[in-house]
Amino acid sequence: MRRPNGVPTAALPQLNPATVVDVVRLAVVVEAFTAADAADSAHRETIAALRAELRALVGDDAWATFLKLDAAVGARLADLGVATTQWGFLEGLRYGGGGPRGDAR
Amino acid sequence: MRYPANVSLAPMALASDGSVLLNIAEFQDDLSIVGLARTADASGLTVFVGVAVPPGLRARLLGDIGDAASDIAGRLGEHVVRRPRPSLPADDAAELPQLDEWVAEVDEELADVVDAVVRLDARARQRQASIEQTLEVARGCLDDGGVVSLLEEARGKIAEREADLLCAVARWAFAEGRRPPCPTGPTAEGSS
Repeated sequence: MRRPNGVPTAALPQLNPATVVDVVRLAVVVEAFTAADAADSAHRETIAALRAELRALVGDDAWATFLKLDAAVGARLADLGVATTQWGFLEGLRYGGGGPRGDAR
Repeated sequence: MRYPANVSLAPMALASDGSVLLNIAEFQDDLSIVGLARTADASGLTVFVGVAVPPGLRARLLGDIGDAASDIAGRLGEHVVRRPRPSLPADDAAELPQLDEWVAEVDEELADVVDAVVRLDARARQRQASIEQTLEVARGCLDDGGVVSLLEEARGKIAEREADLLCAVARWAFAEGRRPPCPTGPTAEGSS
């Protein structure tokens, strides 16, 4: 199977059932995965540039609203990252048939 | 001559090589070391000669044995125990779509399935409702059309990032779920 978004296989964090059911630990692992994802890094740069552009154009009150929005978007993405990982992992367990680490990608 | 204080009267012992040892002291009255050794030798069987660890060292030794056993159990565990199947806390878990190797491989297919997972996530729906409300407030703060379109552009990029990232996460998690347990490698999240 193709590796996700250009992340080198060796750099991918590993998952196990104990980590997957512990949402706090899992959030840390997903964060590590996100940080290593090259495509996501490009997205983050684009969004940061737009953010900087917006900051230059709006006043403090509007910016405070944007920050609130930013936090809500970040929290949603973090939750979804955990939920998607749990689902994907369970589907992998159910589907089975993977080879040794690295072969399945 | 009897030296009962110096001779263990435990009838049996288990050796770390798997041998089961019977105490010669069970079978005779002469509990002298020489007498016991003579009888043991006469049996023609394997003889274990040992001394009891002093009580002051026993706790430490048992602790060390416990640590070693724990390491061994950790290494053996994944060979002998089936991987527990974690359960999803999501209330919609039963409705979640299924993923297979082909879907995980094809970007468009995977994106559709991940989108379905996102739509079924109750917490994400709540958060999205809150985000939409805040967006309305943000739009209300703006009277410049250029800034509004910039905001919409940012929103589009954020949605694009979310979709791409969640597909990557799903692909990775699917591969991890399919990966057989690796008893000697890193056990969890450590290799990032």
